[in-house]
Amino acid sequence: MPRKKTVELSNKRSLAAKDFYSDYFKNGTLFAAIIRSPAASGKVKKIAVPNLPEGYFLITADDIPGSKKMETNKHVSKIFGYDSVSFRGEPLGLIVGPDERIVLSLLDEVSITFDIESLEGAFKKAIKTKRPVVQLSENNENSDFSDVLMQINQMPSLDNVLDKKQIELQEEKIVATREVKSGLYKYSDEAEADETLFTDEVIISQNKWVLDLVPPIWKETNGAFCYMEGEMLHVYTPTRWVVHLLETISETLNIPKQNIFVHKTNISGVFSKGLWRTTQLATQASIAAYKLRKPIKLVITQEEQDLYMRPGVKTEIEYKIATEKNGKIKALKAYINFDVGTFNPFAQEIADRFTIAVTNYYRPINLFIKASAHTSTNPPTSISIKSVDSQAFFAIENQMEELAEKTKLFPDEIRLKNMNPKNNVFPFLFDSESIVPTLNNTLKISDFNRKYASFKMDSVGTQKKDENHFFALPLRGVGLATAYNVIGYNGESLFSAAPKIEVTLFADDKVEIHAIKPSSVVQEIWKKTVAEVLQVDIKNVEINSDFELEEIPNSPEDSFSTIGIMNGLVRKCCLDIQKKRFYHPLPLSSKKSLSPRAKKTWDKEAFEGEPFISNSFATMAVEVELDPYTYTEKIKGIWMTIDCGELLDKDAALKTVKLEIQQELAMLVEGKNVSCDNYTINFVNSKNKSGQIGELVHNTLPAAFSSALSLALSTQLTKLPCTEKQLYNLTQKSNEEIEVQSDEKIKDGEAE
Amino acid sequence: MNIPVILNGNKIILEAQADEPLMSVLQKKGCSSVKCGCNEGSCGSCTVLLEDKPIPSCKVPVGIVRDEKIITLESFSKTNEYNIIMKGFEKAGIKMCGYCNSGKIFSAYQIFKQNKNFTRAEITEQVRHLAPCCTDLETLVNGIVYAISLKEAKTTRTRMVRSTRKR
Repeated sequence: MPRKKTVELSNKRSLAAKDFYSDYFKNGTLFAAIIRSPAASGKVKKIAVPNLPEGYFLITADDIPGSKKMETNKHVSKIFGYDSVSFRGEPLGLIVGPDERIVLSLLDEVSITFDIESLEGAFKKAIKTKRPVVQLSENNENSDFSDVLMQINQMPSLDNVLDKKQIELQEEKIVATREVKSGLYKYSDEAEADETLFTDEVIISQNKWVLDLVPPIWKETNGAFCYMEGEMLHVYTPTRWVVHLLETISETLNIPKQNIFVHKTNISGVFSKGLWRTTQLATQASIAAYKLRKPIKLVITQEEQDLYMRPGVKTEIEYKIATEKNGKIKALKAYINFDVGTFNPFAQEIADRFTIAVTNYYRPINLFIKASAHTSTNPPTSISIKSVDSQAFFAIENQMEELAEKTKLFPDEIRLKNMNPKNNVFPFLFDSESIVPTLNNTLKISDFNRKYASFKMDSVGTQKKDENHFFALPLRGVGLATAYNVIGYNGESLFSAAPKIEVTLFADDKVEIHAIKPSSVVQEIWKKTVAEVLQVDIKNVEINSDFELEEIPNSPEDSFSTIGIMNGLVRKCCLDIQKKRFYHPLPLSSKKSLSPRAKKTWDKEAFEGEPFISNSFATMAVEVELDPYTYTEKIKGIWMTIDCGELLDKDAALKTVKLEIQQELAMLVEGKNVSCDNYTINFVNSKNKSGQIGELVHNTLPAAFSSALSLALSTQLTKLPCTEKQLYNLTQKSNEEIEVQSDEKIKDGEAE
Repeated sequence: MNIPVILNGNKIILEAQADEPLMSVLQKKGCSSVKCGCNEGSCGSCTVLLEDKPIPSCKVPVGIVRDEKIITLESFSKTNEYNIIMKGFEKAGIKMCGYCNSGKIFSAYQIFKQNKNFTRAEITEQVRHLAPCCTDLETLVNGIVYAISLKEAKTTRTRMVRSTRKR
């Protein structure tokens, strides 16, 4: 189809919309709901809605005027499923109409016909060779075999039933791997190295860890609002990747990019919206708006959000660690296995990031890490660096607590012993020693070691006390976790494009920062920086998000919203203007971007070097009390120390940390909000670059919480979020273990 | 079904099914301050004032609000109470995201209009259920405490002016 003629207009467009996409409404708006595949595999032959009321429409892949596929990070996927479906819930089309409730009810009436030629053949064969196995309707003489087939046709995925095993085997494959070796593992065979390192003289610790936090449901679900204005298409959606959306819509509708206006709406919620998945949803809504020439609103349900838009990937991290009796790790092996669903365009980057984060800042000499991404018939996934890091830190920090338990050392001792800053063979370079002041301060303010020792003694004696169930005291525990948060990734990534910023000072003392609008807190920090350096009133500083089409940043927004880097660039621009302002006529502009030199510190081929531009560090201690009757957890206190370099706005930083803690507490226990009113948050003075702080909570709190619960239960909690039933089972298990141990001791005593 | 109500001071007829949530009906009427959050009546994003009491509109079927007064944030934002609450919030450094405003503002209003001397702990308990969408609990409580103190200061000033005039 030939491309439509571009309507001449200014190329400049505002990317920032004031509201949420669900707030937008125009007269004549039609609501859309997604038709999803009821089967995980099979060939779709026909999609129909019998008795579709007047004014209601069905949109499928057949209505796409241009390309039916979209490309994300070199991976091609379908806008609407057609031919073979690859996962249960794959979008196959839209039902569109003026009443949202009718639209949703029509979803139940959709008839999806799957191609079952193979089954039909099998039936016919059976009839020819043996007596019929299907009893046809006795009442209707005209009923024939084709009617039966017709009915079967409308059932989901019979192919799947017929050959399920084979399909699953075919579909599960490894799509990305990363292996890192150092020490003995680098120079000898894995089995040989294992034999040398995992001897009887060392303490061996092995466990599997799963962190699968479900985002809370009080946010706006994903979707889009689109309408046509003449030949112009307007798209309102919470995208973080404008260029990707523009290109995809342009290819799909076969219209020039100049005719598409993307309005980036507000984003609500803990995790950023789904990158390529937001693009897919907005494109689906655009197809309907383009075809019907009516405003379309597509808002997915909370259930759809949970099933198809979950942040991150399901991961299992397994460690096998050999530790000397003095607590020094002799060898560390880590296996990271994650499920990317049907596909994930960022699988390799996720594997890489897991590989780096999985050792935290500990530097064992003998190291073996293997990360593998495998596909499954689950819905496709996207990348969430926040989720990757927190899963890795949850695993390693819990493993360290277990190691402390096995080596009978305090949790801080085992950590300090394994920082090993002199290990030159370790592949990743960090300024790991910056963690020490945060660790020491947290221990001090939380009185950690005293509590740890007393709760430990308490938990050992719990079994005896519990004999009188009516007077059982609450179970208590305290946990420690340390983590870092990265700024700028030097490795190969779509998220590491060099960020740019432009500042202009006008003659009337007004200042304009030209960039995509960051969060309101970051906006305030930028404005404060400008006001301070250029000595202008903060009210005169504005952020302009109008871009020429060619100027729109190519990479997703997450990559250039790092506060430390961006604020540094704002400051540099202002200093540059300040130097010139009294010698040159106004307006004066200064453009700055991140120096590409920083990237040279990382060896992409060898996968070693300095992976990040800068880090911020944190240590957190959590004290937990567990009611032995109701298994209700209560956090008695959270103590956190942060080193985020120069603190740009302490008040805002403090509020951000408190907010993140509350958001995190809503995710730790299934269906429950764990309460805590006692927070102590300290910041360490340091000369490091300014860093992000919010994610530090996400990286430390789950591990510290589960370590505290493990101590309280005197058994290891390996999975979060937890449930009361799980905690009850763990207590039972722990009691049984103690009974076995005491029986063994009695036997030993008798034998002696 | 036609349901007469007084929405933001105007007598109107809502055309809806009796079991339809009030939230969706109000959204269709252009009340964009009524947001869909948890859909379980706990997060607060869909709060409206029904006969001057904050209610989660996602859990209220429109059929039961016949002839009742409904106030949404669109109309409430023109009142003095709103201005005082917002000043209190501003003083506490609250920057609202726009999604959960109804819950926070109407919960503050509920506490604020009772003219009782609430303790900090009591205020905390009353707003604990609200989603920590953009503001932490401690800061929100600070905002409400500031709003109450601003209201009291204003009332005292008004009384003083009146007594001076009487004299």
